[in-house]
Amino acid sequence: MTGAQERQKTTYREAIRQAIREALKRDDRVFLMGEDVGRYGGCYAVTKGLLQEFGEERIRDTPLSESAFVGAGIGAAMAGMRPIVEIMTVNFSLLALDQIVNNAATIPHMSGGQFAVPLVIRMATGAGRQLAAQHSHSLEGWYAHIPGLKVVAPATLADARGMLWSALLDPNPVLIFEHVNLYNMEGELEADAGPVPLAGAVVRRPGRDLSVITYGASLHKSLAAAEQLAATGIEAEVIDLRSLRPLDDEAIIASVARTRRALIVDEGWRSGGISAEICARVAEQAFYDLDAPPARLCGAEVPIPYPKHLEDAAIPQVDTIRAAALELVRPQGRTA
Amino acid sequence: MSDAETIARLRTILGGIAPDLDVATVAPDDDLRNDIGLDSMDFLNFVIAAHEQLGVTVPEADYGKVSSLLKFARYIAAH
Amino acid sequence: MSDFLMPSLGADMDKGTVVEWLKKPGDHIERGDVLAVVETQKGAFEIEVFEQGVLSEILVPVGTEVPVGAVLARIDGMVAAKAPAGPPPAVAPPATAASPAAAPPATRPIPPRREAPRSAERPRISPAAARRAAELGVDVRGLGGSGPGGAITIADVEAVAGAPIVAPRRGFDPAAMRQAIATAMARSKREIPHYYLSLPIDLGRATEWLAEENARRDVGRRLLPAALLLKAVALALREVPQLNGFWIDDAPKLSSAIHVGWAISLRGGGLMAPAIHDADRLTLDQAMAALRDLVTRARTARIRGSEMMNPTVTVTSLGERGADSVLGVIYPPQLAIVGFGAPRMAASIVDGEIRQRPMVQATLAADHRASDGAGGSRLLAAIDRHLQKPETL
Repeated sequence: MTGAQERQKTTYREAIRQAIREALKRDDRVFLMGEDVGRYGGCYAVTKGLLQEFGEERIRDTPLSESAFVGAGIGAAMAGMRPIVEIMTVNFSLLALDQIVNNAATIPHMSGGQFAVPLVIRMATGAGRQLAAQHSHSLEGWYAHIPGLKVVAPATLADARGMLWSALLDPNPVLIFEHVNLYNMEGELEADAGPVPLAGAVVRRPGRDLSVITYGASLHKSLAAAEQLAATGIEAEVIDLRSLRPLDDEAIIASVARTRRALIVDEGWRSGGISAEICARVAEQAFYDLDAPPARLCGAEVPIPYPKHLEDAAIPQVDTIRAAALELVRPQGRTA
Repeated sequence: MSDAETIARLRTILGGIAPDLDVATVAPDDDLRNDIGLDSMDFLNFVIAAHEQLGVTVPEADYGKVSSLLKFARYIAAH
Repeated sequence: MSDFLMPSLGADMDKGTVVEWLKKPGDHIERGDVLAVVETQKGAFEIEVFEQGVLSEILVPVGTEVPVGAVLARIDGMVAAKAPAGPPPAVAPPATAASPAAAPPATRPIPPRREAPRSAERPRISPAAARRAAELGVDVRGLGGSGPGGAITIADVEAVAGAPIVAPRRGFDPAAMRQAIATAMARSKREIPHYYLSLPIDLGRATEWLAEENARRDVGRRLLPAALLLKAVALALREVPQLNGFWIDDAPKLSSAIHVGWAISLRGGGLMAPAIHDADRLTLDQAMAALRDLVTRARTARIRGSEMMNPTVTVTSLGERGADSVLGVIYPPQLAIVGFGAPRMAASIVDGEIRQRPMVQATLAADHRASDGAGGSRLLAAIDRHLQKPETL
């Protein structure tokens, strides 16, 4: 890589902040709004320092009304601005569900294409920070159900940095889901890391024995499980979906057709979740290539508990991913 | 019969009494008890099978002289 | 109409897989016939029937795993006959499905498990394996599956492509056997308060007698020291019956029959201890023949179910290349294990003089719940006494 010497240490949080900063500099129409994004610096400190740098016109603290400020964002987008709206967590976004589902997702259609809604909504999702059942759920699968929306889940520094600008360029409303456990993730990124496409799944680790299909924070657990499995001779292919709407059928099916086994790992609930959708597509499109029933490892069907050990037990972990993979590939060998 | 031919026949006989062995890997001078792991029952079965198929009678006192395929072949040649 | 059940081939077995049917519906069956080959963690075993009649229906197709006690087949016009060796009442005969470690005796056979009944015509097979089988022209009926829920996978199909489909999984899996041994031995050490005794035994007379005897005999009739040890233990157990049998439901269940489980080390790893039935009633030649037969069949995975079902005691002999002595671990729910180390020339005091004698360390590990050191000592002493009179064995 030519840019190797320009790589610098950063975090997922910093990568997003850098992406926002860059967007603000690049396009005057871009502005950020949300609860506590200005003076407080964001509930996960993503926007710290931006108010000082860009001023109150472009970094706007809003009242505690998701419906109001998401609605304002939709209006601004329709009027030609490029708003970035931050919602503290996906749980709170339910207060703006009407704006997102009934307005943002439908207006381009209902106006016959007269109005685009180039709105970007960022929100935190997922469990692992002991924030209990009203701040820890993974509801991105719900939004992936809605035509008219794009739903992405950056799991790497490069995607955290690169997806925002692509989202702003998109004429449709784009929801970016940032898993709370990723904010502190450290790594290296090229100083001039640029935009990345919104859609398209990526094989993060190639393997021949099964396809682990996942996204967000579960990607890193899946990669760790794959590493352990490799020690026992099982080569798991790990696919990072990146985008939940649209889903990259082609990449998913190509991988499953190769490995003949699919394990879907999703922190969200199983019933009616995005995992069910992926499972169905695998069964529909790769049925004759399957050598085992498609398997799912999902969040336990409970509100995410507060105590650490229960919270850990409620969502996929490295050891449960490994066990599920073994069950799929080597059911006999499991007990031996 | 040359030693090599006898060894080949003994190897086949060995395969019959110890089907769990890969006899192709038994070298002519491997010690059948220590290297290959025949126990006393296997060894007796081997001696009996060799008697039935090759007509050689090995007294107990001579077991030490037939402790490998090569030694066994030479023993047969000498008797 | 009578049921042919999945037998319990030892306390550590709770399920088995039918890997071969040797009779088909309509076949006449004599008592002692091997009806099926069943695979367990310890390998494949031939399951005999102890009645006669006509095989009317096979309920469990090849490749299917079922719990102990499940009905494998139905037999018509049964004339009940006793099993040849009379499985002792203490050990679960197949009809009760009672492995002492597992469920209480069932009055009805345990139904084969919860899944929808599978027929041999529609085997559980992955879509990819089905397509591959069609490409390769493989008949998947009767094929064992290694996938989730025992489903046939591509690998299973490809493994038999071009090969006739006979008992595809026959043989034993060293890892599974290791697990079976681990389970049984851990249970033994957890539950059984072992006590240990040892006694050096002079094998001089036995060795001389054997050498003379074998010099006179044809190659095919030669005896090994193992036959003497087997016979001596069996006769000694007649005198000390509290070491022969089982510990079941917090009480000793002694056996009048003496079925000696003979420990056989397998070269692929692991070991098994199938029974030599009524060893005390065999002549020395019969005992030798039984041992030869047993070892040969153990090497070719043709041990019968009845031999795994009911050993009443275990003998482990390390052979002349083994260690000096062995303090065994009792195979539950048995009461004792007798061990013999390697015979070695050693200094021994005979009639006040130091002599060089072939000595063997005889040991006993026994369940202290069922017997005490005095009884154990009597057993070792009796073994010694019998080995001093080889001509009477």
